[in-house]
Amino acid sequence: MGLTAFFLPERLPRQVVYAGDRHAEVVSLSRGRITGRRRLEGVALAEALADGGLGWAEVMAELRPVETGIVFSASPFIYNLFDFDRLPWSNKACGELVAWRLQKIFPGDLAAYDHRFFRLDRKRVLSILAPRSLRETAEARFREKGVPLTFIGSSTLTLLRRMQAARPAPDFFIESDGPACTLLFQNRRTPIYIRTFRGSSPADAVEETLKTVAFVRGQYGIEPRRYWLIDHRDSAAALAAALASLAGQEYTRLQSGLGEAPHIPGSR
Amino acid sequence: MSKISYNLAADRRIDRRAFAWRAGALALASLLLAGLAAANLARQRQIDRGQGGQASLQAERSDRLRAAGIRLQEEIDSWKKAWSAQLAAANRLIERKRFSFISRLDLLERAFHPGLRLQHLSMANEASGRVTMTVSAQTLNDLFSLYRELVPYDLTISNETQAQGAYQVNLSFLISNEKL
Repeated sequence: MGLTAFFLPERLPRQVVYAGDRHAEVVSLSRGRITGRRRLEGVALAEALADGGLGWAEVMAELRPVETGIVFSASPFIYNLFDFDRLPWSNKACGELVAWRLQKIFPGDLAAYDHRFFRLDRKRVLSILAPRSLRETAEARFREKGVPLTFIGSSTLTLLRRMQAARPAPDFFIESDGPACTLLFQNRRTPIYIRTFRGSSPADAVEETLKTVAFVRGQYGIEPRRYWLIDHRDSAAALAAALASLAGQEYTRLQSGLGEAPHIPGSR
Repeated sequence: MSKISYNLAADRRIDRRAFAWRAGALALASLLLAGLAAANLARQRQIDRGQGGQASLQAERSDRLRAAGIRLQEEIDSWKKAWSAQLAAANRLIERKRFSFISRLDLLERAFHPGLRLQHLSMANEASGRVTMTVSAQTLNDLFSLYRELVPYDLTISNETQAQGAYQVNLSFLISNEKL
């Protein structure tokens, strides 16, 4: 898989739709630079794609007929990190093992989900479930409109990939989209813990964040201090201030240095 | 650390430029490796050829030396053959020239004590120096004293008889030139 990805690299789309919790944003890219951003409030695209509800037409009206990607926030996805004694060499066997583990903890019907997994090291696997209907519906809608959909991704995984490569690397990031928050912790550039939650206010979000940090500290024996704060609602300042007031000087916010939309793949 | 590349879209597009760069880099690296391999092979072959030339020179030299050795050995053999007859003749002459009756008789004179009588003596002018004699003695002790004197000279005693109060015996022994 690594060799294929290396020798057959995917071309990143020229425009990307970010499907947030309660808004959507159409981002135009030219050689990695953001050349245009159009924000559409009140559009829950994940839901709109499923039921053909409001917002879909508005988003499509903004799109040019060029290669397009859609990046969903964390909400439609289910992330799991699994530890094994030893992972089999074969990807097929590894997939079966992960699916078996997933079946033990996942109450829903796995057939309704698109399951992908990534080996993080010799023992750890990141598993991602996405509703199959989400992909199928998105592809069908874009096809109807004659817009090539070449990328369907997750903003969290885009951020994770960038966090792994960042220097200096943060210990965790907070991805905030209104009430929805995702926390992802890494140790030695390998993700160790992911949590998504909903907080009614920045103070709530900060409190949950601090609880989660304390849990990770106790569970994994690491001291997470440096973090990225990626906010899709332009309330990062409030969140950062709340975090600073609650936690004092214990935490350091690092700037990602990835421009204004680090969750958009390929953007600078 | 594995790179996480997550894309659910079925209609993915390949970045042709990046692919071309990577394929080009791969082809270039392959060419470079092939070139390096070829250069190393050529260098190795040249070294082998040089070593082969040296080896053949050494072999030629060794053949020449072996042939010279054989020739010399043949010469030595022919010289040996020619000289061995002359050497044998010379040795015979030397032996003959060195043979001394007087010295042998002198030795017998020293060995013979009173009471012994030499009845017969035979001595030939030969390198072996074989001496045979017949001796008679008044007493056995006299005879034994003679035996003791001649024992170092491969003494052979035969036909020892006693008649008329005297002992008679035939003795044979070797007095080589070296023992004189």
